[in-house]
Amino acid sequence: MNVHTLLLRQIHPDFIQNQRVSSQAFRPTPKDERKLSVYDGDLITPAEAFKHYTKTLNLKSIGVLGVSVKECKECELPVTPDPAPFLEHVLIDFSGYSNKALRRKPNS
Amino acid sequence: MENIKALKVLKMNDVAARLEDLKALRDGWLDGDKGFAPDKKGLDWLAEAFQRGYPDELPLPYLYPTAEGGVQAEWSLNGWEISLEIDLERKHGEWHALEMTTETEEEKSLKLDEPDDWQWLAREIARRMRGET
Repeated sequence: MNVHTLLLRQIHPDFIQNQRVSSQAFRPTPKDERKLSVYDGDLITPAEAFKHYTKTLNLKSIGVLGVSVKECKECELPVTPDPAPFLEHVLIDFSGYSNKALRRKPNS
Repeated sequence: MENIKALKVLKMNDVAARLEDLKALRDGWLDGDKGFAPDKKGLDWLAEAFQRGYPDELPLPYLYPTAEGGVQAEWSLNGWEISLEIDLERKHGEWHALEMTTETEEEKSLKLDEPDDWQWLAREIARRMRGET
């Protein structure tokens, strides 16, 4: 993983309306402990990540969007590999930011 | 072949229709163990509140459920990314507006059972729709 690596985020079907994705898609929920789960785009393609998420994990996704490691760094969001659940799993760490800052970060 | 008994033309982002759709959500809608379903009476209240307080000529927001059981309204207007996170139980909204080039940021808490706060919201959306800073 390097600054050019794309981090792949699954988009929940209810976070899209008329082809516009909610900023919430890139914001951890209260149960995520301020860490956003993504796939390492150097280790898995978007199509494979989608298949893994919807078939293996049996979770809902309508598609995949990418954010680069560089963009995370520019927003001062640490990116850490977390291969415990599965090899390609990566966490974007929002801890240290207030709830108000959480609303701002996905738009930054 | 099925007969069509009624036909209703919806505006893009029709608020009432979208909020009606959100009534189909159940607890756990977000990845199984996350996501509270929005309260149906709360969604009805919000639809009425938009009908009463949000002028027809303004751009309609995109509406999304939140994990906490609320609704988030979002607008993208002339470089501004605007969100209003709505607590259906408290009838409260957290307004956030971010200008993407300058990163100018504005926040405000709104009482959405107060007509004055809907008027404030309408003024802010109208201002950004016209491209005013």
